[in-house]
Amino acid sequence: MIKLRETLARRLNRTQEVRHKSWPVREMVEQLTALSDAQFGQYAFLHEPLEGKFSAAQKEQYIQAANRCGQETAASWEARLSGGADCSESQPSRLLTKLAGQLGVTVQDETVPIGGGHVLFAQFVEPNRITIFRDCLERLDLLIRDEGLEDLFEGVDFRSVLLAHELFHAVEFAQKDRIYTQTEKVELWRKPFSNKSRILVLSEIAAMAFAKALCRLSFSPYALDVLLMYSYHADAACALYEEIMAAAGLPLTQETGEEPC
Amino acid sequence: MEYVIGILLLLSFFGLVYYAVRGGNLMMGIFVMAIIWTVLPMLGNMLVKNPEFIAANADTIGISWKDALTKVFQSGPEGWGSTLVNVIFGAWFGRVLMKTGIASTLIRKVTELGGDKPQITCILLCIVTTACFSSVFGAGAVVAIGVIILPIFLSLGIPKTLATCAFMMSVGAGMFVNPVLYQQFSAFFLGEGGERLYTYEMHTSWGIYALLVQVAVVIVMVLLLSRKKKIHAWGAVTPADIRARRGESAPGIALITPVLPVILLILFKVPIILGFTIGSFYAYITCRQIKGWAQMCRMINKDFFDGVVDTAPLVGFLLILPMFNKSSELCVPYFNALLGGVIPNNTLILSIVFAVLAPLGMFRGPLTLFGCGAATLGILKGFGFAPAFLAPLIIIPSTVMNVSCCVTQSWIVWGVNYTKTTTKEFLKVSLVAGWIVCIIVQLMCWFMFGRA
Ligand SMILES: [Zn+2]
Repeated sequence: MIKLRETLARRLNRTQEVRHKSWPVREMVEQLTALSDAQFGQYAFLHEPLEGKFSAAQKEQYIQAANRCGQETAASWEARLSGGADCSESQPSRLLTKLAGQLGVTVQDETVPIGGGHVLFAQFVEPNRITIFRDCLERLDLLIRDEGLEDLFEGVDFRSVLLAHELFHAVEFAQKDRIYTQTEKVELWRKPFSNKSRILVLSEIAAMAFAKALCRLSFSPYALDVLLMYSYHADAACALYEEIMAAAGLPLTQETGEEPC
Repeated sequence: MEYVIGILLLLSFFGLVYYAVRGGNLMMGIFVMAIIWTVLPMLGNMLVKNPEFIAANADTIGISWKDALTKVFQSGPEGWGSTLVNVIFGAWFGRVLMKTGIASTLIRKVTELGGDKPQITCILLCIVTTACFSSVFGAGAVVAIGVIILPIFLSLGIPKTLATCAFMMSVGAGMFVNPVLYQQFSAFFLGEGGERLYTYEMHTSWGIYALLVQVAVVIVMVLLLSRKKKIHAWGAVTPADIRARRGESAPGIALITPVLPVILLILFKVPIILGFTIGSFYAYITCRQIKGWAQMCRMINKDFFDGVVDTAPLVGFLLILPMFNKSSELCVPYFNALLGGVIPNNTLILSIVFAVLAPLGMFRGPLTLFGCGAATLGILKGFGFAPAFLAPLIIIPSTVMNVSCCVTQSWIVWGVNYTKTTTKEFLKVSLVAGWIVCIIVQLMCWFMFGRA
């Protein structure tokens, strides 16, 4: 069964492949870690199902507001959890464990390999379960060692970054009725009908800002999309990188035109 | 003697099932089966002594080696040539829908109607999927639409198993009226002179209701299973997906294109290849893709080329399968001798048996025409049932259990792999949902065609 699945899947994927230039990992990391949260916000909006409904200006406002929401939520929880103690001292991982405890969330590490067209890093299942997929973290460690990137990620605990992101979703779930990412809605239908929808990507942007603040990162955790993907599909990671740079307004290559037959 | 051959044939059949479940290459498996199922009955024909048996099957038993080999290995694949041509035009049409951005625009518009309500959006997207696959055929198109829709399902927090299953069954629902799939079925119901005994009108007369039943079951499935806990996942998708989703946006009037060929066929009896061609040009024109003669030639060339490439993985299988189908006809007397007493010749009992045993349509089993069902059909034909009753009887499990639900279907293999659902989880949901569809539609078809 497995063999058949793989060969067929590979064959079908081949028709989908886009040929890409491969980029040196170090160069990608350096470029990505230099991007602003607003630039990553533009990339995030590419994944928003309702993206077509918003103008560029609206998107910019949403990105700002979502980032602010993530940062403020991080600050307020940090203040609450450290209870007046010197918060700059506390380790992110200890802080996150406390936060998980406060929210009543159980965190579980899953070791089975992941992959496929849709690579999973971590997930939050309502109401209270977070799973971290260790496979991608282990591969990332290897990648950092092989490529000698230790200097770029000094003191970064990647598991905490994933955990913090998912904990934000737990916070959202607990504060559904008052947190910006859940209360901000857009009207989809014409009068007299009404269907108000949340904008899903705002949760993601805010979760990244939240993780960035709590883990004291100097770069947006969105950079991990490329890095974690790289050890599964180097091609896809490079394509993702090009996509991010293009969304950030720094296109690397011109689109290859249709090849004539 | 005829019993010995019958048992050997049956054993080889179970061998194929075992081989398929173990994940062996199906094309070669079926090729080997075609050889076994040609040699065994031909040897049997030389050895049988029972005069009753010989008299009852004079036509089949009297066939010469040369004729038998021609029938299986030459006429078999040749007979499917016309089907293959339809498949290729269907794939071209699928490519055009992607390239012009019609599919992605349709999906975006529907998503913008449903928003963050997972159930509404999921159901609407399933309906769009069914509409698209009422005309379009081919793994390439399923993948192209899947990479847009499945990430939306997942980002709405729909569990991956449900997402995969709902999408695949929606594809399968459209297949009930899909002219390209119909072509493949109709090849099993040809008269002596090669004329069609099972027409497209006969097919759609119940197919359209079967489509509605399957969509209804998908909707119920989505409503029941999506109530489970919502999931927020952080992961990354390969960017080919996003590129597809963000294709150019197509104008409103272009959005009817996906159902155009099938509507032309049902309402105005426009032949399907012409329908695909009209549909494609309608898409090119409404989406303002034609800018000049030379450019148009290049574009059509390219899309056609891509369509052919999309079908390529299927071609070998599609052309080997009819060898097996034809060889199973040679085996009919022996299966009859062995199983004739067990098989009911009452239409109601037969419909009930097919409904209850529908899961045998999975894993290329005896109830799917894309597997060993060709032999089952051969036996049943021997009882003299009318094609109007017999065709739906076996097409139902073929379309539902095999094309919509089984992990041996090429595009389902892709989907299960793409969303990282396990085969087991997928089958747990798809088997139950598919089975329910089969039961409802079998009974419906008995009321329509079986009560003679
Ligand atoms: Zn998230």
